[in-house]
Amino acid sequence: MKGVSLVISSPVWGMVLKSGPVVKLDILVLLILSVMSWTIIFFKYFQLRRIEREDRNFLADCREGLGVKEILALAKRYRRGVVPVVFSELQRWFLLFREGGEMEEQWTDVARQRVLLERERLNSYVGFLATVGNTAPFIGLFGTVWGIINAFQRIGLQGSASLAVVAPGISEALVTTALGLFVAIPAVMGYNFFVGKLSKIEERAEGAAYLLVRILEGKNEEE
Amino acid sequence: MKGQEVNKGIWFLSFMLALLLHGVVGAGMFFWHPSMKRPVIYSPSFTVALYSEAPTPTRPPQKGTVAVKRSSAKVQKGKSAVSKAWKVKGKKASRVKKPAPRKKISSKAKRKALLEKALAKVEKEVVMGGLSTGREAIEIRYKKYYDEIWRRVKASWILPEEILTGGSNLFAVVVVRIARDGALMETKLDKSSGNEVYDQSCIRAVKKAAPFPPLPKGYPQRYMELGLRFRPWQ
Repeated sequence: MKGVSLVISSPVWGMVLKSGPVVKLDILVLLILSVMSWTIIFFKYFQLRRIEREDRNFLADCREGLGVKEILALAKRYRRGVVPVVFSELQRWFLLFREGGEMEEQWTDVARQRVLLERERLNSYVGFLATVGNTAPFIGLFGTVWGIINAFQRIGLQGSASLAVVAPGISEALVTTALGLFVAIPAVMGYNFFVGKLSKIEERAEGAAYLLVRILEGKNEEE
Repeated sequence: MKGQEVNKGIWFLSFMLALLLHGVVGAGMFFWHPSMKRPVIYSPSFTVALYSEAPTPTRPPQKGTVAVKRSSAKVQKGKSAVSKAWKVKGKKASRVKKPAPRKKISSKAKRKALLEKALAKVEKEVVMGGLSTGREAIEIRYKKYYDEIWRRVKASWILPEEILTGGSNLFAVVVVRIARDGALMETKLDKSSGNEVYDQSCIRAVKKAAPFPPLPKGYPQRYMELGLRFRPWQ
């Protein structure tokens, strides 16, 4: 009972409770979208952070003057980073086509394909952030428009048009717009952040893979 | 396979973090009030609730008639009654900025430093019906005027719809000062209901209802002060 009165006395929650079913549904949808997008933001952050760390550590280890064999063995141990995965893939193909001779273009293609696959994997769910960022304001706006329609209807029934009568309904309706923006802003920011991060990871992996291809080729010619 | 497991853990952690974030923000909404700052106004002599629950003319008229009608001895008694009233109010009263005459009274009472004695005097007075009958008479005399004012204010009172439907028990006291010719001299929010919109609607109602009919004849003071109590269901 005390909790209920607390809810009513709070202006924001009181407004939410007093609003109609459509507006409530609107708010519920926005809340679900918000929780989902924040879950994705946190998840992607942890995931990409881990991958970047692995990549960096792997490349740092590679610079210690190791031979190709050792580097490839090292790549097997680092399994989560993008660069080690691409290296392992290259090694597999290298073993398959050992006798193939000079095929730099093919190697590069193999590397690029693997990088793209990895990017695809890491890119999953990021698109959802963009969707939320674009649609949440509209969903909120829908709630507002609906609320204002109802508010004007009630005002009409009351037969008075003073500010005291008009304003509360409109302010009640505007809650959903605020909520929509509240949901959209972090989603858009997260989307841009992750897109930037992903392209960085991709570039790093491609560069490293290209280097390895050159090394492998040299080795191939030697043998 | 192992990576899948790890991902699941991270998904779960992220979901919990997201829920936590929303919970914190949602709970913060409970405590965030746009009209949080609530001015504490202790206006000098508007202690309406001190004497009676019924909406009555406030103290200034009473004080005036006491001064005019009573003999000096009785004035003394009346004063002690007033001082008792202040004592009943206790510490709060001492914090209130009192108008000059009453200050003098209370200091006098202090000089006596015998609360018992004062109480005995008041008791005697109540038994004799000295002061209280006077007050009642005044109440009856001005009740009609008060009712008229209240009727007019109510007629021009527009309640925000959300409060009407909300069924909340808001309560505001607005003190109105009316000049002899019925002109509105001053409106002051004496007790805020805590809801700014509600308070404003009350004050607006008073301003809209002005000017009022002239004060009843024989009213001793230059102006009359009324405490209007606004409750949503009225």
